Amino acid sequence: MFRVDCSRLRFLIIDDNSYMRRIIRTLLHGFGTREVFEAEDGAAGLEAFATHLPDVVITDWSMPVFDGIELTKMIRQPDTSPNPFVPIIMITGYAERSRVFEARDAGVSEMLVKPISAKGLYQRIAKVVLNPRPFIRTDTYFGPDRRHLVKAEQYKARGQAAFLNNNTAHA
Amino acid sequence: MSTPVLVDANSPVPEPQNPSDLNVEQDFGDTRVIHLGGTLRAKAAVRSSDAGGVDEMSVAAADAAMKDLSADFQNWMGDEVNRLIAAYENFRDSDPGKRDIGPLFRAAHDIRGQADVFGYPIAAEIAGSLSKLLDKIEPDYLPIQLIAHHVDSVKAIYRNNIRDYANPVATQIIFNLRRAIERVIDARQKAIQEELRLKRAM
Repeated sequence: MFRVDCSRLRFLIIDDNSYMRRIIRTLLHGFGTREVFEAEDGAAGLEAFATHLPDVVITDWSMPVFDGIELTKMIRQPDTSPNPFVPIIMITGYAERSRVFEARDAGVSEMLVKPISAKGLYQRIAKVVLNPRPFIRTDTYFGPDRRHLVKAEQYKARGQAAFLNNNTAHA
Repeated sequence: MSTPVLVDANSPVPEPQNPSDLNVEQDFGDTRVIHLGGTLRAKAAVRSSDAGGVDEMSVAAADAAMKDLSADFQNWMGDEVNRLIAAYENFRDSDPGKRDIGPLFRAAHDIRGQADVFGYPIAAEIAGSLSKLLDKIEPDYLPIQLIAHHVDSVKAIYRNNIRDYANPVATQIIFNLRRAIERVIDARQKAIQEELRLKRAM
């Protein structure tokens, strides 16, 4: 069994609410993290992302001008982003199914619905560090595999040859 | 004593490895699957005896840090309530057609997400109802009176320091506001459907 040593990770918090940033920062320091950077909106967050190159991004959804979904889409630009693979944890008050799908389709790695708790945040961090989902690149999507039930091991078990064989058989 | 490491002065200094170089890619025609090289895992994963991989000590330390912070929560909640009141008054006093729902929605949405942590779960629930109303109805069709009821309720709950569901007035308020919102949303959806039906018929 493994755990995450958060003291080795660099975090970026993006939230327009200063109290929420303070709460998340307090939790991260409680986990042992030393390097925590903050930004108060999506645009400043994108700049801080390029400057500080965090290991994990924690963002709010609802922010003025440039929200968490738009920020995620910018970070997941494979040809221009400094690290399009960075884990993005979205902390939000939205719990509706449609919202979860919207965040997933933007490329969010994990969602944490408010009210936030220490255990909930730690679990999301552990998940993106210890068991990251493979990334998918198509013409219309770049981001973590959206099919949660398909494990990375299943992909590894499938080879390109097997895939081609199956398709040739159907042809 | 540590073993000395022999370094050839003429050997090139290795370039730092790009993390994405460690990824393994599989091509499935129009889809490419990229298995991450595990650089983050290599950086921060450590062996643990904790069940389920949850570092109980870290979580306990974070909870303790939050407890220290909680002395400020009542003041923070007061600031959030004042922000909600100011956003509502600004929305109410703006000309119809020029109303910006954003600040009011964000103020309600923030209370929805944070009031529980601050120790005001009933206020969180009422702000959640208000967020739902603001999210589902277009600004020009929003019933100002119903928004005012929500804002007043959050204000009253904060000022009377109502923190749990044992208060029967608070639970009745939640019930009444929720029912009123469902009626408004239902009526608006029926009106939209009727407008669409008439447009198709023309």
